[in-house]
Amino acid sequence: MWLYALQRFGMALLVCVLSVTVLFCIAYVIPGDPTAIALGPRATPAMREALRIRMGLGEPIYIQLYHFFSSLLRGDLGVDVWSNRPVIDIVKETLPKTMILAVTGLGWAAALGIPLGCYSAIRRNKLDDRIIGIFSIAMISTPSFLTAIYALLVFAVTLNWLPAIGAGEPGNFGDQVVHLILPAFAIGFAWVGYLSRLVRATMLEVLNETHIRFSRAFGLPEWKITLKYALKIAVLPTITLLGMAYGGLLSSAVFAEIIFNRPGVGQSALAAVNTRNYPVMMGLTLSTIFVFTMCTLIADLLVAALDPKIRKGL
Amino acid sequence: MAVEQSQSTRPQLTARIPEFFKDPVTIFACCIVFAFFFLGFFGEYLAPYKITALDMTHRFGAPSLAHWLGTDNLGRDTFSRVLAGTRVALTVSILAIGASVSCGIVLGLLAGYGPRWLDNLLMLLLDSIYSFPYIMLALAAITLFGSSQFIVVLVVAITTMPTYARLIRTSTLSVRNHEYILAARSMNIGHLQIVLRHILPNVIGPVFILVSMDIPVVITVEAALSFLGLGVPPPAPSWGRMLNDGYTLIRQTPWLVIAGGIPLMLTTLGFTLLGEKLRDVLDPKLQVRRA
Repeated sequence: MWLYALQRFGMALLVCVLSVTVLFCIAYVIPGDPTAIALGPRATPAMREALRIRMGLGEPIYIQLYHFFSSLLRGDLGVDVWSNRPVIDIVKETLPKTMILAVTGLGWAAALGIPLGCYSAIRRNKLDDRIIGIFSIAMISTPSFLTAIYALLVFAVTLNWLPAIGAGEPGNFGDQVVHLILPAFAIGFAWVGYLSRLVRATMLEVLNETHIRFSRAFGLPEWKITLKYALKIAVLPTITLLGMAYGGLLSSAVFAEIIFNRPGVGQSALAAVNTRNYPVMMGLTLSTIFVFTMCTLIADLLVAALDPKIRKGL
Repeated sequence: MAVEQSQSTRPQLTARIPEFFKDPVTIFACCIVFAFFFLGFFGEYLAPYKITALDMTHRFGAPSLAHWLGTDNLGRDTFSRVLAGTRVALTVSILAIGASVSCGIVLGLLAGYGPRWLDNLLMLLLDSIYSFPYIMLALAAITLFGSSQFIVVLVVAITTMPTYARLIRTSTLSVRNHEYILAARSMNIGHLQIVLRHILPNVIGPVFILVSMDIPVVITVEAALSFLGLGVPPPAPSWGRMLNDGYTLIRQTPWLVIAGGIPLMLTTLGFTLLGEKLRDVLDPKLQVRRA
């Protein structure tokens, strides 16, 4: 187990370093002078030169890469070109908010999707299974930003039940929860369908295995077999998927933030794109890569802890 | 409890085709897909109004006989714009899917047929791309290069490519040790020819299923980027841009977001259903994961 964990950890580190390097190289080959963009058209050549030296742009790429990595290890992601705030502060401020949103969204989706999947597996090919199946596919194929817009239209604009914009008053927990409902609903919507399909498929496979047939021969009730023995095995691919899901989840969280006007990674990233704020964009992208790699790692280790076959496989 | 029907007892493919078209869900999906392609090519000529025709006396119009889906803030006919938007969605999906399928096939064949170290390296690379939040990649690329149709296609192609590469790699790995490949090699046939003539035709089938399931992803990404104002630049009437117009005007009229969203939803639904049905008929064991 420890060897496996160490290997996985090494892989995760490698993925991080690799993606950071690629990102850095892409930024290096961009056309145009970053100092000209940062300082605007009215900057004098002397001002540009000063910034160029401060940013270390005159040096060859491997020296720059070295500087970049060493400052990265010290937790220094550069400064916002416009406000001169350290980028790491922006990341610290926005990332947790986005994570809370993403986790809430996935949470309700798992709480509804996994039981639905189990239920359809038990009632396979009956009418209710088919209805759940059609709804699941419809949910999967609705883009999350569209769900967000329609949720906004129906529950906030037309019915006026829930607030449309913002994240709620700081410090007022109840208000924040109320503001979280619609965005979390929009993010989780497609995942309900996804999880129910996945759990149903794996559950059907597991229910055909001999040890399940054996417990059936003992006369155990079907719901007990499903919940106590089959679910434990059927949930493994789901955990792996959830670890990998972070990418898609974050994408939908970004849209939910923009549509519901919530502060977070999405808003900051969009603002950074529109103002050509490279350091902020870079910092946000790097931190999402980091969090993503961590999620995959945790999911892998969790699956390995639950499933001895995988531990020994590698 | 009935045991799931195993593959060997299933009827032959040709026998399953009529059965495939008997299912109402399949017919529904096929109709949507056909309509999408048809309107993508000819929608512009069927539109009752010009997409840029302004009519300031009929702003924020509700659906009526003259304007089937109402009008927007400049009095432009929404129905005509939806029709013309199909062209944008179709163009982007054809270009992006074409690029990602061809890159994916090449990389998948390389990984599956090539040496072990190359396989490991490519898999590491593809896995990192696969699960990276596409929106951050898109935003980073747009910050660096500005927005254009080319960037949209590129981002979509890069993010969807790993699925194809993985699929091709897995089938190549299982095919490469078959006897006919061994026979070909013992006859001193070059590696390139083995890959192109003997492996490729045997592994390419499931790609079509995946294409049908990926087109909705592509259309969604394009609409999503256009929604942020970062996709295909105006005056092209993308569905995403219409959604953005509708979103900013949501308190004036609900019709714009409804008109921009419904075609997007229908198209995604149609292609996803078709892909699912195709998989059931062609390759029931195929598991497709999607970001």
